[in-house]
Amino acid sequence: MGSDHSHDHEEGSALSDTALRVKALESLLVEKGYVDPAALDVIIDTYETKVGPRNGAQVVAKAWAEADFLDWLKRDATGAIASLGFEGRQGEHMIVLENTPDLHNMVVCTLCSCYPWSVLGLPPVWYKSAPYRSRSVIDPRGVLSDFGVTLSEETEVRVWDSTAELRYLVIPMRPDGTEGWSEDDLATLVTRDSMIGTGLALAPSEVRA
Amino acid sequence: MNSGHDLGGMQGFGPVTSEPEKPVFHADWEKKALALTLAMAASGKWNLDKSRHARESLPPPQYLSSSYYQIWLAALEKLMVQEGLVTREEIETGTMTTPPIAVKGVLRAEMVETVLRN
Repeated sequence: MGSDHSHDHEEGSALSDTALRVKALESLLVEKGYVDPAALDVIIDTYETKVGPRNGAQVVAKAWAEADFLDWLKRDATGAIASLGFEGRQGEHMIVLENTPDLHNMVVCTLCSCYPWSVLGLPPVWYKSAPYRSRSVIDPRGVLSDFGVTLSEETEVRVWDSTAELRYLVIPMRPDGTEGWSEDDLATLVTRDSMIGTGLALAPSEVRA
Repeated sequence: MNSGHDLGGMQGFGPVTSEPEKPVFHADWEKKALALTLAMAASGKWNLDKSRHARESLPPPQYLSSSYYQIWLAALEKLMVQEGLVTREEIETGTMTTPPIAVKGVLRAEMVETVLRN
């Protein structure tokens, strides 16, 4: 899939062809009675402001802070995640992948964009695009270096291809120097990319006060 | 099916370009493309697998040169025309010229939260 240049085409013009097309489609579907326009706003607001990677960060922070919760996640990630109120669309069957010094996990959907919406929100452009989908399964270390991540040669890199049914959440390694931190503070170290496996959790020094 | 979407292991697409957590959408129309696709599922005329198939079966040149939400839009149009919900002419003109057909349901604003949770 080509990189997303639709944004570039819209600069300098009031509305691109695609934007006009979507506008026309929306009014057609509303006129037909198939779509409630107010429902569209709720859907958009949900994924713009309510459901996003801060949900997953809470899951990871709790897993770091509580051994029992990590254990529960490993036995029944769907249930454990649901206990925090994160469930539903595109997160119906969850599996967690724990990163260790010996094993680094990365998640991809080579065929489309399967992604755990309930804990990470909507996937970023790169996750849904050809470069990542094609290369992560044959050159994961090359992809990691695109993200500025270099792992030790001793660390195994394992790439998981999501399916229509299964969604994966990576539990990144807990950074050093965080003993005794509250879950809220721990969550600030958890980046979206670290939960996909294309990044590491932030070190305490990397988080602005 | 084994088409343009089956990208695992293909070469030549270049480096991965990262992006920050926000913005979630890169154009207002993308928000509507997502929302319309989710809302139209309430019609009951297709399931999730059929909607994926509609995307995957776009001709490879179109698939590979489209942005993500352009794929969603093209697939939604294809499904709706296929199921008789709209005609191709109505999509191109934005004008309703045929009566709506009966649908299983319409997603109302107050139902959205419940629907997205299940």
